Amino acid sequence: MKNRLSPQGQAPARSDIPQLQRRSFLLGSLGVAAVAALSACADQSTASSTSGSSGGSGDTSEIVVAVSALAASLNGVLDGNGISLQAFELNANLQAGLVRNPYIDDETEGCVVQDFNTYVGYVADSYDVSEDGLTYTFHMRDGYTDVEGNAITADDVVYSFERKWASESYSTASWGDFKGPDAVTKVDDMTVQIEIPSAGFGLTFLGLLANLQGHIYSKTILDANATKDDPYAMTWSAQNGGWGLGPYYMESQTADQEMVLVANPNYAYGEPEVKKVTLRVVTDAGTRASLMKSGDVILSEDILPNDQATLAEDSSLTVPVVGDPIEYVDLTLVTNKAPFNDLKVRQAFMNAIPYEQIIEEVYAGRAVLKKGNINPSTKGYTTDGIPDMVYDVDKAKSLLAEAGMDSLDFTLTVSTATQDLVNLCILIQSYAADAGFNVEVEQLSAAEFGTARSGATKQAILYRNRAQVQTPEYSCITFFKPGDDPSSPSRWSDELNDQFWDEVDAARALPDQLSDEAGEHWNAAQTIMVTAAAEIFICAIQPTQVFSNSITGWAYRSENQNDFGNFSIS
Amino acid sequence: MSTPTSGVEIVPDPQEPRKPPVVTLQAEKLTRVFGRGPSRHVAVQPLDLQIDTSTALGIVGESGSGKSTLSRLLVGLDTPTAGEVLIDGTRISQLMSTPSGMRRFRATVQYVAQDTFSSFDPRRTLRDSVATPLRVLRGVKGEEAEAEIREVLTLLQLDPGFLDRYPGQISGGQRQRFALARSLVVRPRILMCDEVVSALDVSVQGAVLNMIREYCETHSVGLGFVSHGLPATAFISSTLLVMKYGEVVEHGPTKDVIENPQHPYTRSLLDAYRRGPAEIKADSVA
Amino acid sequence: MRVLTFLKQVPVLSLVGAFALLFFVIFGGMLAPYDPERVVTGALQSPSTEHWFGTDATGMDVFSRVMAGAQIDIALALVVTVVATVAGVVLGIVIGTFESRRGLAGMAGRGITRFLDLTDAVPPLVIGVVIVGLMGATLTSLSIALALIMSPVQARLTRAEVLKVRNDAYVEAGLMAGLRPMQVTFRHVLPNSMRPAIENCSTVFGFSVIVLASLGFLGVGLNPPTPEWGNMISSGVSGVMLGSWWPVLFPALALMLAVIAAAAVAGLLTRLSRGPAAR
Repeated sequence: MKNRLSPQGQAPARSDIPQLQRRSFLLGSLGVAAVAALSACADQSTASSTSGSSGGSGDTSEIVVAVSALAASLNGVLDGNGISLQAFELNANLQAGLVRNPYIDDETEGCVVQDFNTYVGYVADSYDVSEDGLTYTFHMRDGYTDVEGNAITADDVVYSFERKWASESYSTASWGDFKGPDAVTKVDDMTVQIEIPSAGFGLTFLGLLANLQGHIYSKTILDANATKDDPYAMTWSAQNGGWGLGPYYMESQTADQEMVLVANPNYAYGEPEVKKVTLRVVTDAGTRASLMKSGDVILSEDILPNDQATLAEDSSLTVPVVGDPIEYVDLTLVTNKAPFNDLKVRQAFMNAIPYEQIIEEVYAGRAVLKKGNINPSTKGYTTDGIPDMVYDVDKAKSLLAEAGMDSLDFTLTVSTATQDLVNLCILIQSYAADAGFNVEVEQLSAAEFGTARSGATKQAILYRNRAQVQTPEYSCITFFKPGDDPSSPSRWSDELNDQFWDEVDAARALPDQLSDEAGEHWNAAQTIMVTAAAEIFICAIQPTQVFSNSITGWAYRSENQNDFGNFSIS
Repeated sequence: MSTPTSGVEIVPDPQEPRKPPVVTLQAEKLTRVFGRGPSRHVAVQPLDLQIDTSTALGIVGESGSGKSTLSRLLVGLDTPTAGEVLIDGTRISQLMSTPSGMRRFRATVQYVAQDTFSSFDPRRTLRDSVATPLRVLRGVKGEEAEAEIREVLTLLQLDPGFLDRYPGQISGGQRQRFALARSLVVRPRILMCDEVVSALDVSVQGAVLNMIREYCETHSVGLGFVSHGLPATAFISSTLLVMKYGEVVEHGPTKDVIENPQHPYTRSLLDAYRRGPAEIKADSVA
Repeated sequence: MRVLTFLKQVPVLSLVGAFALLFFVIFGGMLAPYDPERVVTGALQSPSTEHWFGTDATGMDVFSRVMAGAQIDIALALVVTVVATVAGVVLGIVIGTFESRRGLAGMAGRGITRFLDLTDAVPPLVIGVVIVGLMGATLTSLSIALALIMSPVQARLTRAEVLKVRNDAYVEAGLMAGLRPMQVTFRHVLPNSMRPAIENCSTVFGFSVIVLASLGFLGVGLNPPTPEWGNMISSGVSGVMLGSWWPVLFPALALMLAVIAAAAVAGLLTRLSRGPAAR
């Protein structure tokens, strides 16, 4: 068949990927025409060659990693739209904050996880807290420099806060009442003091410094590239590396294809062992998995759970498992309209979701049930008393009856970018039908989905979510902001919500967020939140990476990205 | 010939023993220009001429002389840029504007073009193609039509068995004669022929020419005969019109033009014929 | 290619193809042993006596979905092919007839021709996304979108043929026979200009299914879990890499067979449209 209309023209050439030949053989010419047309949509670019610096063997100081995409800008959180998984990868490797969470051992041998109960010096050498818990004093490292050898001092810290708050697209929402650069004072070259609005905010403040928000930049390098119109060199920094203080700096990039990261010789924790990391874009998840199997790359990101389960059988590969996975599947029942403005209906649906089947069938066992969204490893906090997530048709039916219905039709919206969630919808649809829910599944493109989520325009939406700052306060309230706030996708607001905020406020008033007393209030808040069923935490998903056994020091982090600076290759 | 039939109103029955009414086709300052600006090309310079039911007008010229354009203008297949074609004093543009007027004109004036592979619709039988004008223009159908068609075929020495064939299944010469048949079944009063013998085998050219001439004379049919071949044109025509670059360079009784050409172009045409191999000799078919 | 050429020469196979297409459109769903839109067992089970084509990534029965998908894909592709071809041929005839005329009709004809050239420059998926975006993703809106995507192609093919045909001498002979221009168009131009569009029907058929699937991939296709071959292929294709070939192979085979059957039917139509003399 001459496909004279093909929008993509020729199928993309993927010369040295043997699995494709096998696929071609299996499907026959026409099947391939169909598949090529489809996968051409998916793979605008894909690994054209995996030669060059080695993946699994050869020089161990240079590695190739298969990623699903690259961030369009290096500015991360400073760009309003910088909050993408790809941007987080750069946060972990190009940027460093004043403090960070140390790594501790966890379930998978050779792998570590972040300890969210502890903060240690990073760009700062150390810090201490005043008696009243309102003043944090950071002591800078002696002789510490940026990539080019310029000294990093208190001035860089002051400058970094000024630069964040000066960026129009930077959202300061997660800092709460923190006054930004006004609260940051240079005591001397080696000392900075930062005032925070309440002692209870201290833990989250450290969390923000360590993850996501608190990166320190090299004032000298950025000043050198500043212009009259762009005094903070935002335009320059979007595409050029070297101004961050992370383990790597960006050496070169080809948009949507490849980015090369080179070790920062002046890194706070010493020059990383892996000298060069090539992030290669392979848009198709199956291809990323097969590159892992063939040994063409040393690590692949964003692998589908079923593929992870298959790859786990290969003894030369590590498919990490952690005790408390952070990324979770979030089913938001939008409460600003019928039918989910009714608590009983929400609770009924909560009981109509086949949690165990989802974990087994969609996630191949690589997910765990979740109780609330505060990290269970948090000191002073337990999940005791928070209702279990159970598929219970009879309970769902009786709750629905209490709400005056024997059946309910509604639309569940999902993004096409997350195939696992599309599958999850189908499973929900099949099982919820037995409880009287007729679920229509609606797929939207990622952009449309984002708009629908922040606008709360749909009845129910399904997406993956995570709190990058794993403190109780941040996890618990970030997605439940009061009022018509776009960061609260469910717009949950009722009597239960008032009770929820009473508990949150009581917890936040306590100076030690890791105390048992605080933990009890957070537990009460979480219990109310789960009972209200405005957001249903279906399950937490295990890390999506697969990597070679030759890697040690892989760390599970709150943004689920790789800290190459901690890698050792054997 | 056949029994008299009731034809379309203005078409006189050719079987009427006495003189059928005379039909006159006239061109007045007829002009045809193609294109505009630099690509402007005058195919027919303003010219006047007249064909009536007793005329056999020969139009001769080389290819590109505008003779074919002229013939198409005369039968209403093309629209003049200026000037008029009139039939019995009525402008054909006016006649053609109504379906009934158009049909009356078509029934009176017919046109046969040189055969190409596309002279007939490849998807229709020859019977269908020949019967259509008979039905549309004269309202003759069924057995009556079949009889008339067979009569014309006999006249043209065509096997009626061919009627069930498709145009691709007969020879070019046979197709040319079928094209003539398609026009003659209409019983036109004026017949315009454009290169109708050029595609024919030399052995049958004479017979066809004779047939056309005889038919036109016996049925009082006016003839317009367009050809690049001077001998055939001279043989069949009583009046000769010589065209060059869209212009009439000579126009007069055939005999006068042949014997005493006034224009150098006419002379060169005659010379070319005399020097070249004789396609056909007028006296050989006379 | 050679297979398709062969099929075009054997009318019996054309009839078999037509029969098979109709059979699956009418009875496809009845042949499904399980509910094609429900999870019936565990995910990604390989083909067995219970699940002939295995199960997909959610645990739906692939055989049932392939059978039920026939009713959606073949029916939609047939509708699109017929609508796009009829509309395209009519449009092609109209513009082919009028575009060289003087006056308003000519201007309109030339305008439409330019517009059709323009549609060639716009990727069909973009057109589809816009239309489905405006009308929502239903079988009807998708049929309209796909017909709109496909009809310009049929129109261009027909127009090119009209430009050739209208210079054929039999068109003038038709006028000389007293037929009005419209009669000539319907009697002679139309039947002789349809062939390229009819020959292209099998391409339109196959491409409809592929575009349908691509639209699904972009999130503007039919919503899951509607059993649609293209969606089944696109959602299963990642798994093929690591051995789960059955959720992709069977719908791809079904698609291939449907296109071959459509090609066989188109072959028959082409023979008919070529005219009796050529038979």
